[in-house]
Amino acid sequence: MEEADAVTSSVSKGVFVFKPSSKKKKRSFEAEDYFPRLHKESASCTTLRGDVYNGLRTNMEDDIGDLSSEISKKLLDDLTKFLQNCHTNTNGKDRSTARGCRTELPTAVLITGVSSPDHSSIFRALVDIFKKRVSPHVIRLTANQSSSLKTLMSAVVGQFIGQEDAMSEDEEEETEEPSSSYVNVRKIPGTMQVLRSWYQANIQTVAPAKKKKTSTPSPSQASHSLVILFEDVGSFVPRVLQDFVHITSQYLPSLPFSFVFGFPTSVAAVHQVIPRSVSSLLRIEKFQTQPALVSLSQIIEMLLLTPNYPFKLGPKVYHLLSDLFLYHSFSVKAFVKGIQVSLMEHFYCQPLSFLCCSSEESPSYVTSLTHTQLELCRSLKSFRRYVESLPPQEQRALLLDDKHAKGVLNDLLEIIYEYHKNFFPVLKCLHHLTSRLPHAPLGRKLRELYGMTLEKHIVEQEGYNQAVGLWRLYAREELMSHLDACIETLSEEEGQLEEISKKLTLYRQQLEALANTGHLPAPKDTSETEEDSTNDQSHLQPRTGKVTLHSLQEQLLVEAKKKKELTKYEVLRHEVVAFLHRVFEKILVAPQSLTLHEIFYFDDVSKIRQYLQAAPRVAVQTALTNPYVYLQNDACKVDPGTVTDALPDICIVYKLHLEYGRLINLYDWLQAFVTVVTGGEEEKKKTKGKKAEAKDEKEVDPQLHARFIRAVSELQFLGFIKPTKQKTDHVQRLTWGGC
Amino acid sequence: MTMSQPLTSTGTWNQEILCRNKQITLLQLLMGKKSHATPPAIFIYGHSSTGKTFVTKKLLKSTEAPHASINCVECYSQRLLYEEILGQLSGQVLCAENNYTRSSRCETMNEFVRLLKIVIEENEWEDQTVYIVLDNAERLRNMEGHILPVFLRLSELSKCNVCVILLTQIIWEKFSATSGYVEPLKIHFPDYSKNELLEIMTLDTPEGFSKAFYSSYVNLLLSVFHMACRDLSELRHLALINFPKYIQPIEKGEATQTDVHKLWRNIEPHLKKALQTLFLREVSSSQWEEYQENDSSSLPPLLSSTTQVELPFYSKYLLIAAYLASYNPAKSDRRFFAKNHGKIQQTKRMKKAEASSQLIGPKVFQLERLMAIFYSIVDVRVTPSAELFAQISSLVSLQMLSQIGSGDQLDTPKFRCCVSLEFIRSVSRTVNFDIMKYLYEFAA
Repeated sequence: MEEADAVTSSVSKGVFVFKPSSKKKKRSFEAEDYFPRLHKESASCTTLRGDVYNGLRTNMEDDIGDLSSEISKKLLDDLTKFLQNCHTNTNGKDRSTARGCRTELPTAVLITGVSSPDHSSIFRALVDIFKKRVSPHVIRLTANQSSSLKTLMSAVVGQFIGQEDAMSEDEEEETEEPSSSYVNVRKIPGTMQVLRSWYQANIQTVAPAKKKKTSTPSPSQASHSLVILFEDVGSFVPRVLQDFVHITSQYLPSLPFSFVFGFPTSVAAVHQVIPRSVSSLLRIEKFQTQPALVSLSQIIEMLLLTPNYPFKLGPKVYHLLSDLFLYHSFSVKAFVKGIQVSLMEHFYCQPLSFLCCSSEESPSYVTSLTHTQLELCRSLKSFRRYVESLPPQEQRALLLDDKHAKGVLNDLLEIIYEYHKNFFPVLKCLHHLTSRLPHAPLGRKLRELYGMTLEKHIVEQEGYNQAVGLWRLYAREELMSHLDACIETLSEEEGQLEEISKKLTLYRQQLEALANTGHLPAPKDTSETEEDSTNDQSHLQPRTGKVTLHSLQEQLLVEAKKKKELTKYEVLRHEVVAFLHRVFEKILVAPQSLTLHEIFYFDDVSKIRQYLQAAPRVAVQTALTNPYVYLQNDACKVDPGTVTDALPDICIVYKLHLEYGRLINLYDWLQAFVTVVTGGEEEKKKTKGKKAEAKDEKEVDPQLHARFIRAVSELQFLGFIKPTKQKTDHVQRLTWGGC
Repeated sequence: MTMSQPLTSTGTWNQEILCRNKQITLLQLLMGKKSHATPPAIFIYGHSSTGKTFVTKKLLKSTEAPHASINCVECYSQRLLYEEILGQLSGQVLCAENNYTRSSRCETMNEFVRLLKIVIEENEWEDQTVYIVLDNAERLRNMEGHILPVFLRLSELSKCNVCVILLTQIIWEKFSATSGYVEPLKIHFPDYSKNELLEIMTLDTPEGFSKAFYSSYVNLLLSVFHMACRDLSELRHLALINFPKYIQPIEKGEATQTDVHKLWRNIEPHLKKALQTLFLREVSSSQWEEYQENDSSSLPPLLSSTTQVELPFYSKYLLIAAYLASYNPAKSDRRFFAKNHGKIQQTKRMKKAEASSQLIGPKVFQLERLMAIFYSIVDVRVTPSAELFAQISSLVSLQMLSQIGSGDQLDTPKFRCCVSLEFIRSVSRTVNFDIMKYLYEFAA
């Protein structure tokens, strides 16, 4: 039930389906058993694909787990510290309570962020951790337990006492006879009196006894505060919560309570729920979970901006996932799910995906490639492009000689591995250089920059050119600090990057030396550099503006001046920028230009959209306007704008209702329906004479009438219309616009 | 409400209670000696922190009369109330052995009166007055209608010498809904005057400081806060959290205890700041201290009114659309959102006739209208996906929108926007949307 509770407390209202848990049966199936055999591949290949997938998936899950525990580590530490200290302080030196001024309930307000699906997992983790570190008496309350004071109190008392029972049964029996301490939790009246006497009987007497036995008490036994976690306090019934706070504060001298309030947005909300008379009983301290945006950046950095995972997202899927996050949910969980789904889909659909493995394993996989698989490789777009660029001799060898092709394949894969290895450190360097530029032509976040590089070669992008223009204006100290950052990111790399790093260090030294040499004629040097920057600006401006005779003249003058005054620093700066540009041009290539990128990059955005971005209303409306999409019946294949009798009744009725205003006259609607349905026959009738027609209009075929009524009630069921009392024989239209 | 504890452990009890001599004498006269008959009910009322509970408890303790004191907030059913009283009088202790239940089950008033008699007989209290103190007695009004009248004439019904003392913050006139009530004896605990507050708060003088010094500090404090707050406990809280700041110059050796002016100049800005956060209690003592040490001129981030709320992009637009739908008349939608809206038909008379929508408050709107406005203010094409609609319900759960009617109403769900103009302006600023241009009231 606990699990079910967590699932159904999501923000989206709806029906939740719980399949009976038959986990034991399902265990026997592994993911690869569900993988289809693509392109007549052998069973072993399918399992290989499954294995690689499983390996990657488990690695990823472990990493995500590590990360999320690390993210919350500081917060948890702070919270535990607060909870551990809140009562020891009040007993001891804390002035306010020591002199008996007032007893305040220590309350930690936890700002949890707006994505509520993530909350229950946070709180579950909190309970576990507090139990380990703070006190064994930790309970969690949810808003649906607050319907009345009675339910809330019995939930509190029941959980505390029930917990203790479970514990004493697990632990040693010497402390107390389990039979004597066992109480039927359900029969206990939920009052604080009960809780107090239970606390005095069980904890205050047991605790010292235990301490004597074990000379070093574990932290869980050191404090015996009663911790209550309130999930989303905003949705608690305010009156009940107020009373509860009131009561607990009365018992605070004998029962060391501490609260943790979960709030999605801000502390200000506390005062919306709790009036002054109650909030003055609380001693509130604020704790903030990490903003969702920061977590997102960390997740992306960990899963995507690393050579550890050969699997990568293509630009479209990457943008879709980050848009879903930024525009819709702010849910880190959903984002991770998105990556996982993409990973699965990639292995599910791409027959060559088993090559998407670590660089050590790939050669063995390549050698085991069968002919058909090689053919698949050859049919890859990027590979064909690669082949076409080669001389004819080579082309033939690649296409016909399997052995040769495997060798080339290995080399090509090696290139991609190398590319991944170099790409991310250099990307980070670029990020260091661009993130603080005015107007941020390349974005302020690493993930934005990554999104850009995925799309197109970064050097060809407009923002990049602007950034380069701005680099040319850097002052010496600025440039040096940026170079330092770059050198630091590259310091642990090897190979190509090491060379870059060395070169950068060299530049850095030169820059440093420049300061030392320029130290002697100091006033001159500084004025020069200042002038340089202004010169640079004036030099850049005419490029964009109109070229008039006057400005040209001026420009030439400036240019002439400048050539003479070009300082040492400026020359060096130019050199550095040019070097950096060469590095970026060489390494930050867009992945699509790489051969065999299809194996590593998953970019089937429509599939992912189908999975993650459900659009129920659009689906219903498409079904009604263009039933061919779902029925695949040729008779329904009509232009969505027209109404014909070939369509199902409900579609006809729906399309007719689109033409009405807010209120729809049922009789008119019926007439229109009859006209459409009998449209073909009517033309024949016209020849028969007016009499028959007039008669026809008055009396509708009962069968048609029934069909119409059924279609209308189906529309009502779908929520497009509803009966109204405003006007007889009318229904109200509820939806507008075709989405 | 007045959960004050013994201020100092020394001295007899009536020396500890200041400024309540009149009330105490009255109570003492009413109670008389142990065997004396007492009025059936005493009704004590007065604002919070005026010493009602404190005085009563002290008095009963000193007379050592048998008594039970109950906080009515806690007893959400009459059974709990009765059993609690009986339990306290008979001195029964709850424990695991008796499964945390009272030995005698008591669910009705009849049984209560019967059991009360038995308890009194068992303890041989026939010649003594038994006191039942009901704190927060206003809660009794919400319980079954007969409870309050019965408590008022409990001595009559039980034929025992029982005195019920009701403590509440509400006047008696608000209790007597129907006739048949026995008028209790009413005792008013008036608010403390400024001088009385000063006298009481001086009791808190920390060790190592003279009473006169602390008294002068409290005087300064009261001069700032007395206008805004007369609640004794709140004031004591303020005095305690600000005192370390006050004596800071002394500890640093920059001033002496007699240097009142210097100390005042030092503390004044801090007290002014504390005045802004009066009653907020957002800052616990430790965080407040930290903030004072930082000495920043601005308030801590959590106290600023426009706290930045992190929302997904479309949620912001949905919220803006909801605000527009709530504060603009539906008629004006065409003018703001349609391309060819025609002439603005708004005469001066019309404008005057309408009261400010900001004063009236948000109006209810339908989901369809919200979506229509949303689509016209968002420039890009947005798929009407399930996520988009889920955001509406997540805004409801964040209490930025409120849903009208039950949540399971599927056709034409209605909402109302609950955020302030200031908040929505700061939200729309983050997405570069000029909301003032779209508000009927503000748009020219």
